[in-house]
Amino acid sequence: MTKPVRWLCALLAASMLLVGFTGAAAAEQPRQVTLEFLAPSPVSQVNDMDAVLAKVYEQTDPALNVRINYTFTTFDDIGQKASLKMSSGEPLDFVFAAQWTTPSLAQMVSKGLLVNLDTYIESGDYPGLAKYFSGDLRDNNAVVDAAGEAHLYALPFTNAYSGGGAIYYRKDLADKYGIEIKDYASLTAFYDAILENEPGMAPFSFLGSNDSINGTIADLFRPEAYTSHHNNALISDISIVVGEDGKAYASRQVFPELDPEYWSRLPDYRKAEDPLLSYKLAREWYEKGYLESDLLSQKDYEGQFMAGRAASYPRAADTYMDTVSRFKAAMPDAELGLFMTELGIRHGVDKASGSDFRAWNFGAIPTTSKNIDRTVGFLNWIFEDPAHHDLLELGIEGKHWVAMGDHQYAYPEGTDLSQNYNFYGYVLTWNPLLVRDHADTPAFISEIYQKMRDPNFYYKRIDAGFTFVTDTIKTEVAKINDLKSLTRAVQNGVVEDIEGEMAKIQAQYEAAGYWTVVEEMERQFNAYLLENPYAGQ
Amino acid sequence: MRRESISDRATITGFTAVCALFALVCLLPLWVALVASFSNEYALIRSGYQLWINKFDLTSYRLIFQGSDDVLRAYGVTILTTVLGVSVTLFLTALTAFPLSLKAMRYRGAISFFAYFTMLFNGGLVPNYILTVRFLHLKNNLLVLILPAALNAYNLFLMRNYFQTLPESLAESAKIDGAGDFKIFSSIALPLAKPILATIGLFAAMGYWNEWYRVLLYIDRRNMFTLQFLIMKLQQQVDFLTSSMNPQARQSLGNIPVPTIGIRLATAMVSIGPIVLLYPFLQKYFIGGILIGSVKG
Repeated sequence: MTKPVRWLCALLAASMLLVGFTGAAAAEQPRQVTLEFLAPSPVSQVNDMDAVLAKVYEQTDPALNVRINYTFTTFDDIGQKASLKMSSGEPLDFVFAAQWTTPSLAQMVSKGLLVNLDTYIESGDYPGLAKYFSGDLRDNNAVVDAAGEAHLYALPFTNAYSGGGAIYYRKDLADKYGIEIKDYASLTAFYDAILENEPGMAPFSFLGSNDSINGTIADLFRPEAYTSHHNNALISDISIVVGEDGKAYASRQVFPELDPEYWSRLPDYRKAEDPLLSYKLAREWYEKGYLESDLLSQKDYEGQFMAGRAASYPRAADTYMDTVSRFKAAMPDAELGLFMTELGIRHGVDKASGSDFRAWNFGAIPTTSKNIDRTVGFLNWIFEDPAHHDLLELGIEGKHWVAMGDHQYAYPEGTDLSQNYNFYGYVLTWNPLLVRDHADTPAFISEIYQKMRDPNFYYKRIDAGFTFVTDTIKTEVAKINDLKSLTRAVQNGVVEDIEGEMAKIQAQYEAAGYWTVVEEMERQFNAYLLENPYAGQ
Repeated sequence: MRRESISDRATITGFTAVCALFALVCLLPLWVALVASFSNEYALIRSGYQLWINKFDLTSYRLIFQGSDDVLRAYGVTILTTVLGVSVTLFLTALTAFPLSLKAMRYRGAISFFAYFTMLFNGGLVPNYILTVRFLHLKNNLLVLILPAALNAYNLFLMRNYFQTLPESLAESAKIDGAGDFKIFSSIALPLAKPILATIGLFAAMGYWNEWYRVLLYIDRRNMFTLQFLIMKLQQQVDFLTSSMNPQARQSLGNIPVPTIGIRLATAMVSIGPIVLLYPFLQKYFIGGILIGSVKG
C-alpha cells in the first residue's frame, strides 16, 4: 500500500466511524420535529392545551422528540382547507377527514393524497395502533384506492358502533297519565293522552324535512322485526337486497316496496304484510295528530321539546347525559324518559341490531408529509397505554379530571368547566375500547353504552365495508340528490294519496337518470359480494 | 308664493303618513329581532315573536362576548381592515381609472381588456392559494385581507365610466391655464367624483366588513380573526352543540342551554352595528353614483 492510499484508507475509516457514531446518537435521540395537525373544532383554542402537551412531551421525549402544533378550523371547511394545504405543499402531518368532508375521505384516497396505514400496522412496530385498530373497526373502515384495493388510509375515531336510536319523552307526563312506555301500544297510548290532556303540545316533534319516520314507526309496530335476518339495506338512498342466490338486487323503485322483484327477496314476515304498511302507519300518526302538521318546516324540534311544546322527540341514546343536563336547565320540575327504538338494544338481544362498524370521524397522514414515520410513532404512543390516551382526551389527571375506576371519570370539586381542558376526542383519541363515561351516568345508560361499544353485540350490515364509487355517474347522482326531499312528504305521512304521490316521484327520479345509478350500484355491489360473500347474518 | 290649500296639505300629510308607516313596517323586523335577541329562548319558542321582551335573558350576548377580548379584538381588526381597505381601494381605483378615461392615454384599450379579462376568467382557488401563500407569503398577515380585494375590475370600470362623463372642456381649460395631468386629476376630477367615490367606498366597506372567507383560508392566528369570521364560527359552534354527541362540548360552555335562535339574532345585531350607520350618510351619493356610472357605460 502506498502512503497516499494508506492515508486515504485511514481517513475513510475515520469518517465511517464518525458516521457510525452520529448514527448511533441519532437513534437515541431523533432530531426534534414539529408535527402539523389540522382538525375541525368548535373552539379556536383548547383550554390548557399547552399544559397537557407539556405533560405529553415529558413522556415522549427523548424517544420521539416531537412537538405538536394543532391548527383548528371550522367543520364546514375542514376538507377544503386540508386539500388546499396538501396541494400547495404546506407542511401538514396529520389531517382530519371523513365521509362528510369536501373532498371526502374516499376522494382524498382515490387522488392518492393519504398514506396507507396498513403497512405500518402490519409491520409489528406499532403495537398500540395494531391493538386498537383491529377486527371489525379496521376491516370496515378501509377505503378503496385508485388501484382498486381496500386499505386503512385513516384511523377511525368513534366511541360506539351505533348511536342507539331512541325517543326522549316527558316521563313526568307519562307517569301522570299512568303509562309506562315499553312498546308500540304504550307509546301511542301516551300520545293519545297528550292529545287529550295537553293542548298546545305536539306528541312527537322531529326534523321532517330531513328525516323519515315511517321505517321507525313500522319497526316499533312489528315486534318480530329484530329476530329476522337482515339481507337488505339502504345505500346512498338506493334499496339493496341480497337474495338466496347470494346476489344483490337494487330496487328500480324509489319506494322499494313497490318493486315486486325486491319484495320477493325480503324475509317472510315482511312479505306477509301490506307493502305500504310503513307509509300507512306514518299517515295514521299524521292524521291522528301525533306528528306536527307543519313537520316539513320544523327547524328546531329539540327546542320544541325543551320549551314544553312537544312531548317527545327522536335522538340517539349516546347523547343522554348531554340531553339530561339541558333538560334539567330548561325544565327543572319535569322528568326525562328514554325509550329505545333500536329493538336489539331495547331487548338486550345479541346480533339483533345492525352496524356497518363505520366511524364518522377519521384522521390521516398526507403523502406530502415529511414526517410520516414520526407521526405514526406519535399516534402509536397515544394508543400504547390507556394513560397516554386519557391524558390527551381528558387532560391531566387530578387537575382536569379524576379517575373513577377504569371506565369512568369525574371532575375535581370546584372545577370551572368553562375553563377546563376541552379537547375534542373525535379528532384524535376516540376508540370504543378506551371510553370513559362521566361518573354520573345512570346504570341503565351505562349498560346500553356497553352494548353499543361491543362489536359482537351487532350483526354486520350487508353494506358494511362497501363504498359506492360515483365518479362515472356524477351528473345523475347530483340530479337525484336534488329530488331527495320529495320523498319526505310520503314517508312522513303528510300526503293522503300515497300511491299517486309515489308514482309522481318515481317519474321524476327516472327522468333524472335513477335507473343508471341503480344499475351501477347493483354492479358495484355484486362485485363487492364476490370478494366479501354475504354470510347470512 | 302660493299658499297651500287644505287639500294640498291633506295630500302631503297623507303621503307623509303612508311613508312613515312604510318606514315603520321596514323597521319592524329589525325591532322584533332586537327584542327577541334579549328574550329567553324557550319563552320565545312557547309564545312566538313579540313586540316587547319576553322574559329578559342575556345568554346569547353572554355567549358572544365570552372571552370578550376576542370579540373586541376582532372588532378592532375588522375596523382596521375596513378603514385601510377602503382607503387603499379608493386610492388605487381612482389612480387607475382616471388615466383609462383619457382618450390620449396609450394602450388604454389593452389595459382595460386586461382588467376585463379578470372579470371573466380566474385561476381558481388552488392557484390563488398557492400564489398568496407560497409566493406572496401573506399567510397570517393582515395585508391578505386588504390587498387581494383592493383593485377589482368592476369598481374600476364603474369609476372609469364616471370620469368619462365629466365634460372634456373642463380638463382642456385647466390645461390652458397650465395644469398638468396630475393637477387635473387631483383638483378637478376627484372633487367632482364624490358620488362615485362614496359608492365604491361603500361597496368596498361592505366587502371588507363582511370578510370571513379569506380569514378562513389564510389566517390561523386567533388574534387576527375578523368579527364576521368569529361570528361564523360561533354559528357553527351552536349548530355543532345542538347536534353534538359530546357532552364535553356543552360543559365547556358551562352547561347552559344554548339559544339557537337567540344567538343568531344577537350576532346579527352585533355585526350590523357600525356599518349600518354608514348608509344614511352616504345614501345621497350612493344612488347618484350608481346611476351615473352605469347608464353611460
